Amino acid sequence: MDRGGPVERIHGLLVHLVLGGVLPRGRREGIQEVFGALWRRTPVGIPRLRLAVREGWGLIRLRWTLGRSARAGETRMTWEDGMDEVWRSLVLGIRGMARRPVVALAAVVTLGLGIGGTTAVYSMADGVLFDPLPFPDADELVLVNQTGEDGRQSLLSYLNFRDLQAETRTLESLALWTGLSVSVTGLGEPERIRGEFVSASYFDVLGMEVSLGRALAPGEDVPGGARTAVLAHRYWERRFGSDPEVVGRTIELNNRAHIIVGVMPPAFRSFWDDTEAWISLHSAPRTLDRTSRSFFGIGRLADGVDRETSLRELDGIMARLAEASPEMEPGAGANVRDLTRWVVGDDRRTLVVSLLGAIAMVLLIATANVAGLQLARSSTRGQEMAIRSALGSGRRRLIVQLLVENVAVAAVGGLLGLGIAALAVRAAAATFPGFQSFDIALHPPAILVAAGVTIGVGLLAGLWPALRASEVRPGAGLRDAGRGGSSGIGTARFRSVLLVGQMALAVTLLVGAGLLVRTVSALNSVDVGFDAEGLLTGETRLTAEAYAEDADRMDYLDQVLRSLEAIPGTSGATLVAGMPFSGDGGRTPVRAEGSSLSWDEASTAFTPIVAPGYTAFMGIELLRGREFERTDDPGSGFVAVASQGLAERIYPGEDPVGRMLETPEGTARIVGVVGDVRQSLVGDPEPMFYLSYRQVPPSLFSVLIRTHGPPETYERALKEAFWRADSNQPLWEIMPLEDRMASYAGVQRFTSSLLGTFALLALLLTGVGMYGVVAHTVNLRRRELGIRLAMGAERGTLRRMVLGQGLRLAIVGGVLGLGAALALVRGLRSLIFGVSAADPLTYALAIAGVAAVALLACWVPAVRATRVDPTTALRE
Amino acid sequence: MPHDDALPLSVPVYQILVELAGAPLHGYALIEEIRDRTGGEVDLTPSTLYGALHRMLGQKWILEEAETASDAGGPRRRIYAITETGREVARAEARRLHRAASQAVAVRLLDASGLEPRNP
Repeated sequence: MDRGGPVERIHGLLVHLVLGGVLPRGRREGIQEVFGALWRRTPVGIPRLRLAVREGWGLIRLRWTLGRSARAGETRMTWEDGMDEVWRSLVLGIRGMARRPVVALAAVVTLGLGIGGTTAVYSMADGVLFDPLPFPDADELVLVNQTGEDGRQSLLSYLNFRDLQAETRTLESLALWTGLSVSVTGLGEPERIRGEFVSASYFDVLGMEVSLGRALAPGEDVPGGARTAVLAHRYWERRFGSDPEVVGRTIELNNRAHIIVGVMPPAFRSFWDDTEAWISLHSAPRTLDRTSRSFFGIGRLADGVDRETSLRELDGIMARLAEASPEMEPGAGANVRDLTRWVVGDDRRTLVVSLLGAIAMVLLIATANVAGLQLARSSTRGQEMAIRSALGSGRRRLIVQLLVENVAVAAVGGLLGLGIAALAVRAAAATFPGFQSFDIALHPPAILVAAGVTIGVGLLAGLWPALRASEVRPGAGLRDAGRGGSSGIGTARFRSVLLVGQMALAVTLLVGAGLLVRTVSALNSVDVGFDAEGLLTGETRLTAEAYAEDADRMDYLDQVLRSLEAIPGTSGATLVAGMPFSGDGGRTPVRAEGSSLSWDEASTAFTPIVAPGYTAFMGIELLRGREFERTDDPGSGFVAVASQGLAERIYPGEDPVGRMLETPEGTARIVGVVGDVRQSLVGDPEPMFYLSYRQVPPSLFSVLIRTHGPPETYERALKEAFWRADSNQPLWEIMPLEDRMASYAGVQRFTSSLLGTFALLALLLTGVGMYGVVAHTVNLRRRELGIRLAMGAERGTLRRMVLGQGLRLAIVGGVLGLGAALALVRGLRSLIFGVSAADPLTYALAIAGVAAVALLACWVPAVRATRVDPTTALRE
Repeated sequence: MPHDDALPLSVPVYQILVELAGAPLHGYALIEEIRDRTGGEVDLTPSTLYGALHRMLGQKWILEEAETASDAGGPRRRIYAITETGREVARAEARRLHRAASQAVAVRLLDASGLEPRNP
């Protein structure tokens, strides 16, 4: 019979799949035949498409109506009957589980871990990826940048912001924002807090309201306007003891009085985690002209406007501004980006996506395991099913029974999973500082996901076993009593397939985790060029009016240093502007004396300003010459200490000591060469040269003391010593230098520990699954093994046979897993450092791990196989 | 009225009965004829058609007969023919529709030819 083209064949298949069992074969063939005739006579193109869609929909509707009338005709089952049946199945199921508590427990724990992990990771994904900004309608928020002629993006200048704000129609509102640290004085201990200088429209754009007082008002964000501030709830509690009368009081920010006009609600978080005050824009220590581009623009799209439209409009406005005002660079434009994407960043995106992938794998393994457990049970339950079906239980009833049981097991596992998830989420939010700005918690959607996953897993794990078990023919099942016949072997084969899949997933996870563990260890073993042990650091920025003269500042720095050196229990102190891992410090072009290179062609060097004795204090290697001494002061010529990297670049093959280095600001004589020091963990160390604070006194710098014992216990002593020199200067970000360094690889550490956990979990679950399958087959083959033993087979041979079975599965799974891993680790590449994404050692170890677990899991059944007593086995 | 509890008939069922009242037909011809007669207003898909035929066979409103294949080797096509009960049901439905239309004429919603009156 001619079955026609592919569409007709697919149609035929669908007809039998969808209508099989509800419509007699003859009618189904009729549908196929008529459809074929119609199809052939329908013109190619839209009419055929229309026919296909109508027919597809018709099939589904027919299935629905026929199914309904069939059910109604068959048993006239009511809703109450249905509930009754579910309830009865549940009771039977619980009784069954009580008889085999270990199997039920294994299933519950497996599912608990799987569902818990999924829910926890989903919660993180929800907080980080899907809804990272805690503002109403956050998807309407955009980041507005200025662009230059070459398309380079820069921040927005104040005057351009004003013009954009006045002209835009595509944005409902536009705000200006910049985050800077701010000195607070006149409230007891001087301190530095995180402040945000914002336009009055800021709170409107974000859609947030104050909980006390009012927000900044228009007119308070323009030069000459009142200086006002809104406090964070946290800061209001900490510094004002939640005083409800705080509104109207003044606070001294950067040595200028500001009126406190409001307090934000506790839940409000902005782009910085720990912002403590929002301050009138015009108090920002930046000039408010067109060329000083130092602000972020944040806009909210007007109703029905998309980002592209807004981009075109703002770009046009900016281009007109550039033509009209001579001080702007020609060719300027605007860029409008999705704020959420900008805040989340690619690293976190990669991270969460790979975690979602990982957890999906663990969940699959868990599901496969539970399905495996159910299959094992159902093959031994063949007898029970056979009896029940002989007693007249319908096929449907048997299936319902098995599904209800599985969903019940999954529900208990789901409850356990929610508990695990709650703990995991709390631990993740607390442990990993980079995630604190996101709202990570178990929200209703996450719980819904958990519930959905639970039911899905229950059905999935139960469906196949249920269909198989319900296929038993009463006679065959009863005859097979107690042994499980060929259907048992078929089941075991299916479980082997599941197991190969699990092995593959476990290998994939192990490879991912392995690569990240090696990344973290590579990051940990990076030679930073100095000794960070026991260093406690703090940062300060001198208030604007204090120590304006270089000589005064130098004296002050001398005093600070003397005071810090006197702290008992420490071995010295130093100060530095541009401390490693602080993110502070400047760079300048630099070239050799008499070099013909232009400044554009010259090398760029990082230029920390340090105290005499800094090199020795930090444990940086002194390679040539000397380091700074107290006698290098304003009275002598400028001197510099070059890093090895810089020396090799500007004076290759020569001794640089005694030579000059030139920068656009002036020249300095090189007195020494020291080893390279890293400013961050990734990339190569930068070339640098050091200057002495006794010649170039900085106003933003870090203080360091080297302590004996835990550095954080010296915080009080450090503050007191620092304020002995001047109690009006703020000191902040007091923390051990090692903590600062650790936070640099936070994403890698976070991922590697989570992926590591998942990988171990996967390995464990796979081991359990493996044990189950092998033990089950050994059980089924008892007679065969008995016969072999009776025929004189060596026990060692039998053991090898069973072990070989497990090992074969592990190898097939391992090879599949390697392929999957090679394809999937691409996604992790941006997180990997110091190790190749195709690192053979990691892959080999992953395979070895899975093989070892497989052998371990097979060992007990293998030994049991050799203990089969031939006579009993044969008599059974 | 003996068949009132089966009324109203679904559009496909009524149209199939009307069609078969003329002559027995096979599935494909039924779809084509109904589409042509109704001017494309009723265009059944194969599954709708066979769903309806299945129900009507169950009610004994129609019969299924195997047509001898004209060309050897081709599939045996099935022909559907209306039964006396089928005729009764179709007639009852037609009467119901007619009554419904007459009531529209009585209130001058339509004129007797089934068109809308020119000046209401």
